[in-house]
Amino acid sequence: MDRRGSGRTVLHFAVTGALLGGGVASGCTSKDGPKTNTAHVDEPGAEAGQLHINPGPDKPKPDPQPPTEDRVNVGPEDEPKPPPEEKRVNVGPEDDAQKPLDKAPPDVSVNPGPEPQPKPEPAPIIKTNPGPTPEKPK
Amino acid sequence: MTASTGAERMLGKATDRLERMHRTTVHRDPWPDFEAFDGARYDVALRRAAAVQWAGRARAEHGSVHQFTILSHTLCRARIELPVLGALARLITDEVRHAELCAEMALACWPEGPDTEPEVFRWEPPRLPWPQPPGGGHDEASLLAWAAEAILSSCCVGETLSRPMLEAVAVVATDPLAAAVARQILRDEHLHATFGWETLGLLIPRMSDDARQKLEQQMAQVFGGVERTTACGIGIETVAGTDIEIAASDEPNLGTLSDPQYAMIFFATMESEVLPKLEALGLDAFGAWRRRPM
Repeated sequence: MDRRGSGRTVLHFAVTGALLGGGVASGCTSKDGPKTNTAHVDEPGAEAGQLHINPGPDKPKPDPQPPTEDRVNVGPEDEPKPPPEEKRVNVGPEDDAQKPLDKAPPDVSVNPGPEPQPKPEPAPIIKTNPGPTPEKPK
Repeated sequence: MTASTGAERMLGKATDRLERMHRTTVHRDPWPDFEAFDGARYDVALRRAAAVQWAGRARAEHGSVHQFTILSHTLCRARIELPVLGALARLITDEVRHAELCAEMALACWPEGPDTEPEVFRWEPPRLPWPQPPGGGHDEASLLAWAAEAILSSCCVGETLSRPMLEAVAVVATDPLAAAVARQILRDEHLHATFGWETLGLLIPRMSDDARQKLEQQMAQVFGGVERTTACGIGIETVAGTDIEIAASDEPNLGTLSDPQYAMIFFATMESEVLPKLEALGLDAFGAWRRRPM
C-alpha cells in the first residue's frame, strides 16, 4: 500500500470485488455509530434529523444537573472565596474521642498495608470408612 | 469575559503538579510547536475546514479515552491477566495525548473560530458505541463476552482503520505542523490495533460456542455501523475494481482527506486486513459483512 521513492510518499489502495454483494437494507442513516477516530467529520448541525442505528450509542440520560451546568461553553468559574478567618484564642487540639461518631469508620485499606490474619478455620471433620464408631453410652 | 469552547476547555489548566505528571506520562514524544503555525499562509475557508476535522478528531479521541477506561474497568472486574491491563493503560494515555494534539491543532488552524463559530469546537459528553457492560452480579464469562465485542469494534476495526487514514493524512498534509501531529498519532495506532488483535485472540478460546455466535451477530452490526460513519455514503459498488494513489499535491492541505479517499481506504482496509484477520481468529467475518445492515 505504500511506495516511497525520490522523497515523495505515495499510498496505494485497491478494492477488488470481494466485498460486493450482501448487506441487509435497514433504512438507517445515522452516522452516530461505531467509527474510527480519523473518520470524516460532518459539518456542525449535519447530524440533525438522522435516525439512530442498531447498535447505536446509548441514548443520553437526562442530566440531573441544572441546565446551566450542562453547557459546552463554560467559562472559568469564579474562585471560591476563602471562609472568613475565625479568631480563636487558646484553642488546643480537639480530642478525637470527644467527636461524635455517627457510624463505624469505613473499612479503608492501605496498599501495602498489613494483611489481616486469616481466622483459624474450624478443623475439618474427616470421616473414614470404616472408622471407629462412638461407643454407645451404657 | 469570553466563554471558552469545548476544545479550549479540553486544554484547560489543572494544578502545576498535575500538569507535570500529565506531561511526564502523556507527552512522550517532543511536543509540536503549535505557536509556530503560520495561519496567514492559508485562506480562512481552508483553515476552517481543517478545524472542523481536527476538532471532531479531538472529540473522537476523547471518546476513546471513555471507551478504553470502561473496557479497562470491565476487564479488571473479570480478573483478566495483568499484562492486558498494563497494555490497555498505555492506550488510555495515548488517547489523552491524541485528544490534546487534535484540540491544539484545531485551535491553531482557526484561532478566530471560537469567537465566530464556537459550535465547530463543541465538546459533548462522550457516548459509547456499544452497550454498557454487564452490571454487578454477572459472571466473568459475561464480562469477557462483552469485552470481546468492545475490543472487536473499537480496536480490531476502529484502530486498524485509523492507521491507514492517519498515514494518508500525514502524506497529504502540506503544512509541517499538521503532518507532525498526524505522524505522532500514527505512531500509536499500530500498537492499538495490535492490542485489539492480541486480546481478542486471547478471549475467543475462552468463550462458549453461544458467545462466539453472538459475537458474529454483533460483528455484522459493527460493520454496518462503521461503514455508515466512515465510507462517506460511497457504496462498495462504486469503488469495487478501482484503486487510488494518495500523495501530497500542489494544493495546500492542513490534514484533510476527501470523501472518495476515505471510502477507498475504508473498503481496501476492510478487505485486505480487517476481515481476513477476523477469519483467522475463527470468526465468519465475510458472512457477517454480507449480513451487515445498510
